[in-house]
Amino acid sequence: MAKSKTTKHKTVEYGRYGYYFIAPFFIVFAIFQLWPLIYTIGLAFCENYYDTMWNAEVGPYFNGLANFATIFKSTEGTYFDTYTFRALGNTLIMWFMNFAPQILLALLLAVWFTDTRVKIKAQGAYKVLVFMPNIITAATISVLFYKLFDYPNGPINQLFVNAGIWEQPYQFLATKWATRSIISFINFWMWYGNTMIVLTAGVLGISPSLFEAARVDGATSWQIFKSVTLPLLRPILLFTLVNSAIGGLQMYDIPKLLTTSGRGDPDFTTRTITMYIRELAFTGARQMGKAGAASLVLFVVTLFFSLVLFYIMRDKDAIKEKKAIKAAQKARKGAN
Amino acid sequence: MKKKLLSVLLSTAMLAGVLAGCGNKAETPADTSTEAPADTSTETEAPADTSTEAEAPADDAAASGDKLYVYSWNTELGERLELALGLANRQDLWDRIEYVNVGDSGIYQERIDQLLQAPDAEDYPDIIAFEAAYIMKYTNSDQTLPITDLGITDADLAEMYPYTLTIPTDKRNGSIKGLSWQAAPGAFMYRTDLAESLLGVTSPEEMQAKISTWDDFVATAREIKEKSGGATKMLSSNGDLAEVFRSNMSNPWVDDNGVFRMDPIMEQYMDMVKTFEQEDLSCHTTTWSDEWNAGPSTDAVFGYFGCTWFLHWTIKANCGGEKPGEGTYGLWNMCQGPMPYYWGGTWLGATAGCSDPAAAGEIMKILCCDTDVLTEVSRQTLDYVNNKTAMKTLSDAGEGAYDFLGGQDFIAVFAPLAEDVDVSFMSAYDQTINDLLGTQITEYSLGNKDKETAIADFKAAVAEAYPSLTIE
Amino acid sequence: MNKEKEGGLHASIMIQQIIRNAICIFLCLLSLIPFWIMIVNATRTSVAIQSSFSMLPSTHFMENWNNLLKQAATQASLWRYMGNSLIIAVGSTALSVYFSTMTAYGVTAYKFKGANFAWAFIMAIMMIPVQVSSIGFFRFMYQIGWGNNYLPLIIPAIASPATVFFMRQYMISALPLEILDSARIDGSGEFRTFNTIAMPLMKPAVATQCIFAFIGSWNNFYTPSMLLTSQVKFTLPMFVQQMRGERFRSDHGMIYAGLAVTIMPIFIVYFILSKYIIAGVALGGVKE
Repeated sequence: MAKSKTTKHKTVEYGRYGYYFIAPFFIVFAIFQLWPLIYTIGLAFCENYYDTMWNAEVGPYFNGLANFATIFKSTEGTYFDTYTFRALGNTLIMWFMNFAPQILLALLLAVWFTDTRVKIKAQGAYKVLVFMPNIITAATISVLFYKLFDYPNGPINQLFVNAGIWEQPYQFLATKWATRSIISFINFWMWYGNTMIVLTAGVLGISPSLFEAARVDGATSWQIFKSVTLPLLRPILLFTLVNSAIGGLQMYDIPKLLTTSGRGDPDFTTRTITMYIRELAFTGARQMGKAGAASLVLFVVTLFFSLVLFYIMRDKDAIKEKKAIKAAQKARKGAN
Repeated sequence: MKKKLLSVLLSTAMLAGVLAGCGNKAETPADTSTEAPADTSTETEAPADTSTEAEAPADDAAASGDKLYVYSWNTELGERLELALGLANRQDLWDRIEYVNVGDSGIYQERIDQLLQAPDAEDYPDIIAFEAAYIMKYTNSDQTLPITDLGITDADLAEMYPYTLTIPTDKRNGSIKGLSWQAAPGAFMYRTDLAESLLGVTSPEEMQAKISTWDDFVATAREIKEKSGGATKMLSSNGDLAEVFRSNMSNPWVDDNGVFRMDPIMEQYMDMVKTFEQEDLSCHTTTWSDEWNAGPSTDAVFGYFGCTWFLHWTIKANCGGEKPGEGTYGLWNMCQGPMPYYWGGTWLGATAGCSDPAAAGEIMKILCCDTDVLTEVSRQTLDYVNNKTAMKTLSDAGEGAYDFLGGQDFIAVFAPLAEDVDVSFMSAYDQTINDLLGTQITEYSLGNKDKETAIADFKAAVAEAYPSLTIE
Repeated sequence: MNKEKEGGLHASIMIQQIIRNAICIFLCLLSLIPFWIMIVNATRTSVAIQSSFSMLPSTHFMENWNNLLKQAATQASLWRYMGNSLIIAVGSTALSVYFSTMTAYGVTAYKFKGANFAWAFIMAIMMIPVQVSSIGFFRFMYQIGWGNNYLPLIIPAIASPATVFFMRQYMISALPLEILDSARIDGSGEFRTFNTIAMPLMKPAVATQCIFAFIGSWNNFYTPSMLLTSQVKFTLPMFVQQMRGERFRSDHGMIYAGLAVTIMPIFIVYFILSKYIIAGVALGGVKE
């Protein structure tokens, strides 16, 4: 009894080490990133841009929600029909176009790699190689794909025209859906390996006895997948989804570098929200105020997705912690 | 403990606030709002900081040492400076120069803008290189010094082409704030062998007659396509037409009152691009792409609109050979084309906080004003230098006869064009607005949009990029 | 009868295996293509690269390589740029991974007031878009006299929210808190426990984050080019970009040789650490 009291006292005392451990992070954050962030948030409520003719900064003057008004309301007075929301829409579309095939392929590979019946011996090597696109820079990849789909004499066009499948070369990068597809494909190709590894680990985490039981009951592979693997994989799938959505909303390098003008050709249809924010802040009238406001809007959208993540995680955390505490108490009691 | 930590956090945050806030204060006196709580509180706490931060942007020679920081986006200017200062026996000046090659014209302005806000930094620029597309933004501001402050007199400018001085003139008071060592009038550069076999043309004069108006130009383009069986096209990229039309706008995109207008000639440009696209009169490449660069070494492209530097650095560099008989070397000629025009160039300007204006002036004078030096620079580099006497000397000595052009005197072609360059079409807004127009022209030429929609979308994009402009 | 069925089953498994392996090999090839093209182009001449696309290597690698060395040598040697990149990448990677693990450990292993808030805060800043605030960061670095200096490229790595996030994910699944208790009973100090017990258990996660942090820093072009002025301090990507920036005189073969050189160290590190990286990604992504 007395002993357990002292341990309890001790844990409370140890708590302060938590502060020591997180202090470096917060100190460095405060010094290097906090101020620019506060400044950006402040600018969202200010008129602040450059008068290009004289290269002179205007503002920042407080102007309330005026920046947000221009973000939500178009000059014709319609809501959400603005460049900002079009850029946000592009981002979500291209994210979805990469995520849907990505999760499907990753699932398929995860099931294959964990299949005890049809063993794939070289899967270690496959994993290493399939994950590899993740380590190259977007810049290199964009240049490469730009060349592949070049018009009129890029390799892809040459291939199809020479094979007689097409009569004319196709202007991939001047066509909205083709360009979006290429960007989505690059993202898909860079990330499916990562998702596959995560999902494989997830499938391995499912108790083998469940599969065994299903098989004994005579379930087919598809039935096992549908009623055992998929439901038990749900939390991981959701986690992947949300994680990917947060990353997808920040999509920048590939659409930026793939198009000639860097403004989301053709006709801004591949301009993502982060490209748009940078354009606001660094080109034209360098509208820092509006760029700040657009950043805040993006933050709120990201937050929305993240709250879902928090929701998924918090429950689990609590359960886990409770378990850990119980286990620890048990262990201590056992020791006593 | 917690309190301690909190106070550490708060004080570091405040420190950050003080340091960052003061810099802004100096430039934005009317900074009423934004970070209100942080700023107002910290300002009273740290008066010492404010004073040191806000003071003395200029003549802080000691801080920058003896070094003169020269910023540019590639190696060209550095090579020219080294050559010119060497020719003028001013190795001492070259030794003082810290040449910074930012390497990426895409972020060059961002870098410059950021540095200009740090007058106390050791690497604060003393001389900056500007491209025509954005130089006016800087020369119309207090960020650059008039050349009279650098000890450069009107007499030094006598040999320059007038337009090179019009561009860097501050609109507010008429002072000149930048100098260039090159002039960049444009011409139409075409393949002599193809001209003869396809069109029966044997001299630049005959060629000029075939493209002296836009109607002629299109007719000749059709003829080339037809006679070559589609193997050769008049142009490589539709975008190659851009500079010619831009140069012939009768008004700048944005006038001095901040009113945006679309010049009618740009509508003509839109139609021209559409004709070339729809009738398949160009190779449909993108300007500056690899395929476009490969054009001069093949028979696919008849000609290019190009200027002085373009001749050497684009066509010659990509012709696939280094002496007559190799690639298309020697198989080129120039004529004026349907409209006179001008394209690009690099200017030098001294910054407001330049650590040694006198030395900056000397450097600029040697590279941009010294006739003897420029004559030799042109002889060695083939630059079309911004000095009438130098170019005349070389042309008279027969040094303009260019084996790449099959012996045609490139100086004789460019000289009269350089005299007549009219830059009244330029404004500080050009770079962004031209980009935005390009996007809509692509849509229009491919038939995705009709002209009215394309123009309306263009104007909307301009309004988005420059909300304070009046769009007409 | 039974045997036959078994034989049929066996055959179908064989077929399945062949199909699955074939698809996997195809996907692997797809992954290798960009590396391959880069290496191929590094062996071709500039004119050849511009005019056609090829999957077959040519014979000009040494030429491109020598050009690259020569081009670099006009200002500083290629090895110098590589060394600069290495200093920054190693410095920031070490700080980022060590302190992120420490931060994650702080919020995971200890119960203190504000722990949840600290965690939520870290999550929140991970989501804030940085596009605009970078301007303020550069301005501030110049105000404290850190322009043209490696410090702003290294020190801020201490606060890397995404790395902290990953580390915590991993920690929850791989670091049993009981071990810490028993370490305490053995009289180990808190920091010692972290360094000698927690860190080793985090190896796969550390390896994973090391490679990502290293790649991120190694390939970063924008931040260094906004802060570095002296040519002798330039990084490898800045040098490669300088060669690209010569729009009129780009030697593409040389640029590809430069890109290949840039990517080689990453390649090597990746293959050395690949076992840990796969394990790290697997556990860091799983919430179980």
